Amino acid sequence: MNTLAALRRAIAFDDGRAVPRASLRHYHLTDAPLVVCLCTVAGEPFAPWCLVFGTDPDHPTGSVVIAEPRDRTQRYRGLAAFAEGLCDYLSGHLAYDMVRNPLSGVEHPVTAGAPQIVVPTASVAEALIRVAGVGLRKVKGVPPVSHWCNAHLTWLGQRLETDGQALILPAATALTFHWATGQGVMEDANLPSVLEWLTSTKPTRDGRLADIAAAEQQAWGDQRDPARDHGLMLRVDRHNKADNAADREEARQAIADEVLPPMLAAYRGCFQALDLLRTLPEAPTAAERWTADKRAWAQHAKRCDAPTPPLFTVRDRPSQAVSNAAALETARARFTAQPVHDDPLILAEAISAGDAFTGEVLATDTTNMEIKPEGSRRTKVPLLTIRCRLRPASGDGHDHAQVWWVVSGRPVSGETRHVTPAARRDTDLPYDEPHTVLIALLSGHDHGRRTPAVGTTVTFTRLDPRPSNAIRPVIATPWPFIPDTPTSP
Amino acid sequence: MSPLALVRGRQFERTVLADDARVLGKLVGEHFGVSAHPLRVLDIGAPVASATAESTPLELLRLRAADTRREVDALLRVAVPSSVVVHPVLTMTMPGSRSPVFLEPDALALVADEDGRLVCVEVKSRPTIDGVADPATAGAAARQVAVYVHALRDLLADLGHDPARVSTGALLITPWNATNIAVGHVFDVGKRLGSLARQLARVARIDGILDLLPDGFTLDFDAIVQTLSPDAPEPVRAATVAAHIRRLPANYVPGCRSHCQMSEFCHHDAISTGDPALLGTGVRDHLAGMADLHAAARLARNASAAPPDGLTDDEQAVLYAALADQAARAAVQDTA
Repeated sequence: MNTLAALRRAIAFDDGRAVPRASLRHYHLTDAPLVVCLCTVAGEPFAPWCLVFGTDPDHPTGSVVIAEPRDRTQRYRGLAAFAEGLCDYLSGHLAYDMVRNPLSGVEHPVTAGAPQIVVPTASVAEALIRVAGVGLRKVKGVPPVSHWCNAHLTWLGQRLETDGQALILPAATALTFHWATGQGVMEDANLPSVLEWLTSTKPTRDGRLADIAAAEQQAWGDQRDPARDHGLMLRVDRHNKADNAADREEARQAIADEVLPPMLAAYRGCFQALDLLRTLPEAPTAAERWTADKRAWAQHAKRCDAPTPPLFTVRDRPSQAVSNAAALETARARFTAQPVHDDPLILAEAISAGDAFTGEVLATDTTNMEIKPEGSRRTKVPLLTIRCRLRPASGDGHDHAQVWWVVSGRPVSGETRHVTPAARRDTDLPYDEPHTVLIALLSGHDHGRRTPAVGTTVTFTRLDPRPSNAIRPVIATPWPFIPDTPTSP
Repeated sequence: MSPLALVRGRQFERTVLADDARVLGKLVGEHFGVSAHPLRVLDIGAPVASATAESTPLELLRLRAADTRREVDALLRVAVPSSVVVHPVLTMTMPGSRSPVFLEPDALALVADEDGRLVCVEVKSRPTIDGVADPATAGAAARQVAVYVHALRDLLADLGHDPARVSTGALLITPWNATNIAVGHVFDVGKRLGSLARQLARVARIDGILDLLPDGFTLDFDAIVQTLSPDAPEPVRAATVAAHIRRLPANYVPGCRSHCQMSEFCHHDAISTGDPALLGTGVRDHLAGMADLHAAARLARNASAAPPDGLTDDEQAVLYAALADQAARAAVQDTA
């Protein structure tokens, strides 16, 4: 959160309409993602389940209502129907080729594309992995397709933690990344109300706020509204006490009538969210993150090229946990920095947060030569003098703070050298405290040919746009993962 | 919580405590290394002998608390191993309050090691899936048990026993996957106990808080309605109660909506006043100096015009954020 993010939310609230936070789409979208909607009941994971899934906005491929998930036969049969649909969709992306890296000589798998699963909210993704992923692990007497479904979802569940990944995409999260709504962060996890902030067509603010309040009452998440569960409980009771197949089927239908309509609405809502996201052109680095997604998927596809599904550990080994944590950290840093470099609207928030500063180029010196700390020869180090409205937070008082020029193409790095107060101009605002910053460009400036022109406005940020690789641990059990000495009870 | 979840919770607890708590005894034995058969079970939740048909729920709680006190004392003096007290009632007094708070742990078990220690047992119906207990449930159970352990230690100190005989290790019992089979997890609440003690030590005294209320303020619904004529229509009654409640300023944050019954009332008020806390604590902190959300939006809309003199630091921060925003939107327009 920064002042601008807060302000955009305030404006959205004042308007009764969402405010764009991004001018580009920072998640890759495939042509035909699989939308999956799931609901359970608040606080009770084995009350009726409902799953709706498919790739066609108008006709879901399948819908499953499991009236009594505690009944193993019913649960496994229902989940098998979903597993069938999921594996059908994923199988189109499992073919891979081994490609040799010409530099390292190492072979790695490559797939043509990767699947994309879209769910209404992040909690649905987690519930899905719990219910149809982990919940199907090591169970006997189910068709093999269920075990494959478990393997795929467990893998996707691990992938879900990576920032900026698009293999399993919660629609509400993606929408609120690109638009600021006038509701709280927690309320942003509710897809119907987020959609209403974006799409309400009422002419007045009060009308739009009423639409949003009405949408908020719908539950498209992984859990139903507990207040409505009383009727459902009676139907479940009737289902469980039915003594003949006809009565049971009738009760099952009654349960389906109760749980299915909201999930069908959620299914349509996901496609509506996708349509809204598609109105934005894709950001250049979104494609790069999708490539990383495809590479990860190809590894999984290779593991799946076996007669039995791959196995996953419940808890990672310590060294594995450390390299996972490092990879997640890298992904987070990348997803924080790359959109800032791509998108002026996100850059504005970085400026507000103090991660970037902007100013007018007063002078450039492209002939300056210096010996860099790691070098032994004099090389070109172009110098820029920039006039900022306020004293920049980045490199504040510290010489040699690393900064990156926000420019398309190859990244240009530099360092701040001197920050000095500048003379005021007539055009300055009364609150301006103008400063000049001397910046030395250190890399990516193409021997001084790629520098900003005098008089232009440039922006520098401390956020590193280059994807870097996770650090691999070198010891078997890094200290944060050494378990405590067990205390005797 | 859904009624389905509540029903399931009761069912599972009955399963665990059925047949003289056979399942519970087995799990206690398994996890605390004692053979727990035969188990002596004392059910304090069963109808109390001294209770009459007219006993109010509060009186029943008092009677059960007294029973618990007696049974725990007897248990620790005789140190009968493998005893279980089911549905005990513990009491805790908050600073400055006259009446105690009643706590109802699911069960207390006496473990027969050399000291004969007491262990709190908590039964939850959220299942353990694939060997891992639901993290939210386990966290909530740990917070809950820390309070029980604290209250139980107070009780022991009061009875003249060593408070350390209450173990900081507690047992969480949950169903295994979709079944009714119960599994146990031992967890330690030592750290939470420390932080709970610190919290209780610095909690504001209730009588001090009551002094801050406006004169003649009450939250007694009947007392408020009595000030009206008996035939006052429903909207008038509702408006009177609402006006009365509004005499207290609300400290609304979006998180209130997940646990407080009053939250919709405060939420509604926050929308009509444009309170920055409506959008969360982050927004509230960043727009701290603004009167309300509308004022922030107005300042942003007029940012490109000559800014007024005498803006506070907070307003200046909003102004510069708005200028950065406008510059960015202009840049997007240019490239499009």
